[in-house]
Amino acid sequence: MMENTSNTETQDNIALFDNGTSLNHANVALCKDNSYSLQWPNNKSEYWKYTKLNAIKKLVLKPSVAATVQSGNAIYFTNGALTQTSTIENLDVLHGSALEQSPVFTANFGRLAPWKTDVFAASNLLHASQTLGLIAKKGAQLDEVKIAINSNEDGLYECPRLLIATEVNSSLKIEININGIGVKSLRNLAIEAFVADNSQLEINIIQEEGTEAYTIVQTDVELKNDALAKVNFFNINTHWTRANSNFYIDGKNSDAQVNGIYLPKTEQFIDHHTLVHHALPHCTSHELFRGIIADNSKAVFNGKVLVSKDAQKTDAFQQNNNVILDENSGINAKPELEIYADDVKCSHGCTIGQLDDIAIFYLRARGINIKKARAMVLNAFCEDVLDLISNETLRESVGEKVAQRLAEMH
Amino acid sequence: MISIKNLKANIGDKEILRGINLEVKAGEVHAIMGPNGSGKSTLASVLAGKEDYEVTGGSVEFLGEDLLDLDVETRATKGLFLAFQYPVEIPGVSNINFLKEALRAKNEANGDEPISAKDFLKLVKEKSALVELPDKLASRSVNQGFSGGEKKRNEIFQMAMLDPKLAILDETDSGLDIDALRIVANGVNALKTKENATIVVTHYQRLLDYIVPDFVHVLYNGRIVKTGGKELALELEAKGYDWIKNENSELV
Repeated sequence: MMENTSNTETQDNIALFDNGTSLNHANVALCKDNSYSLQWPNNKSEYWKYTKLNAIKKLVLKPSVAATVQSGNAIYFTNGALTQTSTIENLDVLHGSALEQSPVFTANFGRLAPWKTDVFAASNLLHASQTLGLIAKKGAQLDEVKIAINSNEDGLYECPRLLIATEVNSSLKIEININGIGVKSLRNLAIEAFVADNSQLEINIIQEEGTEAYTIVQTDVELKNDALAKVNFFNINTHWTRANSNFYIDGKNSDAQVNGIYLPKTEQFIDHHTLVHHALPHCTSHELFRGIIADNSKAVFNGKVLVSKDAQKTDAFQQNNNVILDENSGINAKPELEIYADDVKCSHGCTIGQLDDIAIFYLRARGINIKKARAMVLNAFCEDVLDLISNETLRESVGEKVAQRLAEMH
Repeated sequence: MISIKNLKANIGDKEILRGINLEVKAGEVHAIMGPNGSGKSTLASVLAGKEDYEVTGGSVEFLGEDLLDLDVETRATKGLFLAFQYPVEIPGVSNINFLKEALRAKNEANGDEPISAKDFLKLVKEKSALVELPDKLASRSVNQGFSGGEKKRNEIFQMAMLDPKLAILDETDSGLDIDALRIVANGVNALKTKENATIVVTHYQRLLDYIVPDFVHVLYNGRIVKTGGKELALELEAKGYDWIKNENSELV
């Protein structure tokens, strides 16, 4: 009887995560002493408290297959494999041995990702068939590097992986579009980014996946001196997403920003866990997450700010605002401040509310119909986050996607 | 213009309006005065269509139509305008965008041509000057960071933009200093024509020095208990609302 119970518990796809036939052995070798963790988080883990993994455990999946990488005018991952790269001036776009021989790779690959403790981080490292490396050269100004992560095949376990680095005095802006409307799969995306002295990195992640996909986004960013790193999430349509965004500020006078808009409806689930670790003095961090949650959907926001003893004069700000559109939807929101320095400014604000009826009445009293009035108020709620996209064209196109989604939300 | 007959309304179980009768014709200015809690703001809100109130009896005819049958936005596009006692702040929605949408809705509903961007800006310039509203406020979020006076001027600015047939000013004077009051009143007077009408709801007589009413009605305990010319306002000012309360003690 006891045996039966334990059998049931282990009938999940953890075997897939540790499947010898699909491993990237070069990456496995990097996990010295096999010290990676492939344990599912247990039920008591605070980090996974509100995030149910049962559905993921029961997915029937096969590993995605490595593809021949073509050269073209855009960068594509298709069904989990890197399929196309492109030549961009002042940007090294690398994969395979060219990437593995680069000093950036040797020094940094796997250095930030939490593969020792996190099953998904470990599994991505073991399975990523081709890592895409993007290295902005010294002084480069790269405004529009686009990466499309597309899926059109059901039942795959996809592990796209990015290694991003900016050299001194460079600026790199990346747009990542995750697409796969209607495809049932598990996508485990990992991004490691290294932002050098006096350089800037902006990543905008736009997710339009639809009804079946399960997605993990693990982002780990390290900032050196006078650096700026900004990651913006636009979870426009996603069935189930867990995003872990970690920032390690290892320089002075740097600024880490992580922001997001999440718009779950029809029983969707979205979970943002952020960590900003201030290790050195005179740095700032800003977080702004806004969510509109409808039709039996659930969201989680957990924003942790860790200020080490040496990180004096830290200025950390975090804000999370939520509008719940019906009584069956909800959010578990938790700010977490852990401060060991004594001369810092850290603030957080969290609100959970309903649509402002008085504002809607005011707009209607001026002749604007109720649907339009609601859309205006909800769009306005998202505006502050959209404004954080620095590229105007992208801001407009994401704004349109958000507006379209909001129009479907009531 | 508007014909209110025996209008009764509740909020929850509480009866607030207990049979209002009021007839307003084009070209007229009516003042509704009364002590706090008499039902003045309720009347304004019920006419605008606020759903917190339940109409339990009576009828309201507006330009030949049953007003109570129309939803909030249709009342507005047909030409009813409520200047709010407490204008609402809407973060993120710019004042100018808000007006553009409102004007578009009105033109659409009335089958009129949409206004060109150029004409719209011209109209904004002209009408904001009427209430001396600084240009910078047009691009700000609706009422956000506006002073009390600016909010009220913004209401009259919106009224000027939308050119309503019937404007109901709900305590537009409350909290205004004398300069702001004069600006607001001048705006309202400038918008007055033979084709439109205004209902001024106020607690104080002061506003009526600037917006001169044709009729003054005194609302008490959910009914209009006295109607007169503009001199009634002065009489009220001199004698105070206790005079009305004592005369109508049987109504309590």
